[in-house]
Parts: sequence; C-alpha cells; structure tokens
Amino acid sequence: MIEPFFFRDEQVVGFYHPSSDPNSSRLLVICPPFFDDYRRSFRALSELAISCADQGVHVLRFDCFGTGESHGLLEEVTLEDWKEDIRAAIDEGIELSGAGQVDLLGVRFGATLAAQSRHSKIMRYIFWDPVMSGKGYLELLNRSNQAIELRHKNIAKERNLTFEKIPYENFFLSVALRQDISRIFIDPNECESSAPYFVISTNKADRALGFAHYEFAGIDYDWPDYHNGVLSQKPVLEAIVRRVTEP
Amino acid sequence: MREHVFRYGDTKYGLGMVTIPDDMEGAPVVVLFNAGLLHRAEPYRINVLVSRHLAQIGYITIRIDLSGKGDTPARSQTSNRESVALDWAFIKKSLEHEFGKRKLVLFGLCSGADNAIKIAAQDEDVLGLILLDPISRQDESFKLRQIRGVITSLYKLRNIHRMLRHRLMKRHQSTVFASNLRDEPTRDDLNDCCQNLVKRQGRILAFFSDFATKYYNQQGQFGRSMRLEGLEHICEEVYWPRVEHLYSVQVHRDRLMGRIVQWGKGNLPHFKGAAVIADEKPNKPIQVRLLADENTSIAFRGLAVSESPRSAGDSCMASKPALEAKATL
Repeated sequence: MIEPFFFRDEQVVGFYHPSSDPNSSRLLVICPPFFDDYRRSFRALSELAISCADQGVHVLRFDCFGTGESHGLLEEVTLEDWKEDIRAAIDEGIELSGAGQVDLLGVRFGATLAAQSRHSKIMRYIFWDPVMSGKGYLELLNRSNQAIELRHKNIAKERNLTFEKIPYENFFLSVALRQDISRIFIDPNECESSAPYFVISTNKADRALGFAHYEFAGIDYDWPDYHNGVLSQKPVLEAIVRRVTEP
Repeated sequence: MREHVFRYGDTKYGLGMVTIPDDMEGAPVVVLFNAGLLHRAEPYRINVLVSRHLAQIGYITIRIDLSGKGDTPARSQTSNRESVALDWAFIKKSLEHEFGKRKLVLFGLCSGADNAIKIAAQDEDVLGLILLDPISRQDESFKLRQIRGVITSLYKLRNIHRMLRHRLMKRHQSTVFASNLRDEPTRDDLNDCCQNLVKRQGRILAFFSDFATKYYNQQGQFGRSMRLEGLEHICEEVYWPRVEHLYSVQVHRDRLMGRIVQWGKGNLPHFKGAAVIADEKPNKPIQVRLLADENTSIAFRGLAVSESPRSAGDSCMASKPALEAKATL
C-alpha cells in the first residue's frame, strides 16, 4: 500500500511504496519530470513504482517544492530547493526502508537534477530521456509556449474573436529560476566518476550523447510535441524495471 | 491550513488528499474528482490549487483518485458507473467518519464533471457543483448561432472546404478518441441533478471553454436548455471560448482560481448554514460585473454577491449553465 507523507518541514510530499520483501536493502528514488512532462508521465511513474515494489525494491516518489502536491508555487522556487528536495527524499527513503543501496532514477529534467546529486548511498543513476542541457530545455519550453500561443490564435480566428494579448505561458518561471536552469547540464564524463549511469531513451539519437551505458527502449516518444495524452510506455517501464531489479 | 492523506474503500486502497481550513466549524466539504485519466493534482495542478484556495476561505477540500486513476488501483469486473458509485459510497463513509455529516460540493473537469453530475443526481447531501466543461443540451437557437458563426467568420468561410474534408475523413476513421470513451451522464442524470439542486436551493458554477463550443455557444444556454424553473437562480455560467480545455495558459488558470474563489466566498454562508427549503422564493435577479476576463459574461441571479472585484467595461449578463464535457487524455 502506498504511504504518502510530507517531509522538509511538511512542504514536500512523498509517496513511499514498501517492497514486497521487507528485508530488501534496495531503494529506488524517483526524481519526477517537470512542467508538462510531469502531467504526462505521472501514471507511468506510479505504475513503475508499484511494479518495482512488487519485485522486491522499496520505492520513493516525491514532488519537488512548487510542483504536484507539494506546497509552494513555481514562482517561489529556486533550483537549490529542488536539489535539496532530492537529497532529503533520499534520506527519507533510507530512513523509511532501512535500505543501504539507492538507485536514483531521473526523468527528463528530473534526470538533469538527479545528475547533480551526490549521496554516499547512491549505487547507480538511471536516466529516462534525460534533458542534457538546461539551456536547451528552456528553449524547448519557449517553443512549447509559442505553440500554445499559436493554438490560441487559431481558436480566436475560428471563433471570430479578437486575439487576447496576454502572456501565453504554460507556467510562469521566475527570472532567477530561468537563469539557474540555463546553467545546469549533464556531463556524461563527469557522471561516471561518481557512480554508474544508465540511460534509457526513446530517442535513438541519444546514443551519441556519450553515456557508457545506453539502451534504446524500442519506441519513439515525442516529448516536446505530444501534449494531448497521458504517457504509459510499457517498453520503457520494462527496461527500467529490468535495470532496477537486476542484481 | 494543513493537509493529510485521505483513505477510502473496503481495503483503504482508495487515496486522496485532504486540505483542512483553519476554522472547521460548519465548513462544507468540496470533493474534487480526477479529470479524465489524470491523477488527482492535475491538469497543471488545478485541483491542488483549487483545493488550497478554497481551504483558505473556509472549505474542507478533498482531491480524490477514483478507482483506476492516479494512485488508486482499478476495480475489476465493474463498469465505470458502478465503480464510481461504489467509490462514492466509500468516500462518503470515510468523510462522515472523519468530519461528520456536512454539506457537499463536487468539483470536476471533463469526466470529473460527468461524475459530479451523476453523483449529484443521486445524493441529497450534495448542495453545490463546480463544473469545468460539463455536458450541456443545445437550445433551440444553438444551430442558428453556429451557422451564423460560420458565415460571419472570414476565416471559416475561407477554410470551409478544409472543414468539410476534415469532417468527412473523420467520419470514415476508425480511430478511437479518448473523448469518445467518456461515460457521460444520461438525460435523466442531468435532469435529476438539476432538479435536486433546485429543490435543495443548491448552487452551480459551470465553466465552458473552447472545447465546449461544439455543443455550447452562448452564455445561458445550459440553464435555458434544461427548461427547469428556478435553475437560473442557482446557476452561474462562465463562457470562455478563448480558453483551452485543460487551461494550458497560466493566466487562464489564475482567472479560473479567481472566479472559483469569488463564487466560493459568496456562497460559503449559504453552504454553512442556510436551511434548505424547497419552496424558498429566489431573490430578484441581479446582475454583476466581472473580472477583466475577456468576453465572459456571467449568469448570476438571486445569489448574495459578497464581493466582486470587477473592472468597468466587462460584460455581464444573466445566464444559465450548460453541459457536456471533453476529452480526456
């Protein structure tokens, strides 16, 4: 049974999935993606957590401050808050489960943040479609906002309405947060110096990123442009479960 | 304001999150349902922010994952309707156990609105509805307005061949759209829901976005098309044809919050204490001005308007609400 709880001064929400094997020493901490990616992948990550717990691994999911069910608003967040959330989530997971080994799974921009996290109990990093560069990610978010604006222009045209001049932003981000995001990136060479990194990707081109351990999940998924659905990619989830549950 | 986990169901696998206001005395409970297949926080945190805004002004709020959504496992061997009805029975049991008997307000977007209508049709404790893109009947002039919309739109006239081709192609496609999988309320559900709320002097707040323009194209259509005396007095309709179904733009979400809080504040005394009298004579209709939110007009009659941060120049007309919902994701 899922055990939700709040930590970090009751500001951050966590969802603990205890392992079917209470003596398991392994814990998976999931750093979720952000913004629209979060909405589309929630279901997949929930299923992933249940599946891993069934196969003997404790799992901790959480929502970073200002996102999901955690407190705060995006406008108030700093990147340092999110990094601290990840560290605190690892500690909480260890305390709840008693596990001695942690796999840190990061999804999209959650992977970018996870790659910056260092903790003595992290045995392995797993990235699902990692965002390699914060700068590139901001550009992608801007393109996404432009697409939203275009859609609204078309709506106005179709309905014979005047186009409303407002900021067509999916989420308001503070200038400071944008600056922080633009400075962050994943360096595959540096990654390997801390713990092994595994990349599970839905984009064949990611093979060229230079990670020592890379797996194409077998399906393509268009993260930036596919906005109308909820994502539940069985091949990706199976690949992650295999990786997490392997000895 | 504080939050804690809410569990329901025979095995307590049903999951939700409760937000408690500082003053719990007589506070009504707002239950927020999933939008489509999304989990209880979404889309774009709307359910979370609505929960917290309403808790700040005195409502207890619970955002729920119904069976098969978010963190609540699916039931087997039940239809959606049966599953929702079962969930609701368990949710009410847990609610009454934790808070005692309270007035209930239901909130939902799309299929969440569908579920709210179906439940309100059956449950006498439901006194309020906040519906985002619910279903709506069409009134006599709906088609006329639609045709007028096409012939007065240069854009549509220019692209009429594309629209026709698109419609023809769609007719021959076997693609299953999520919106087609919706389990919408029946005609009887909608009738019963509205009749019950009129009888109990309930309150309805209904928003219609661009998505709804397929079946709703004028402020007041919902109430008019129901042909139910007294409905217009308890119903407030907001027609936002420039807004996307999932409120993808933050400015639109902020406006949505503003309108819900405004409605919530205005109706809190009613939900808290007003005796429900079936024959209570509605107040004289009043007109209110609205927030500076584009072409929105509101139908707001007969309710005590507590405050209205409005700006000059915004249109406001009396109207009624409507229904039909949207796709799911």
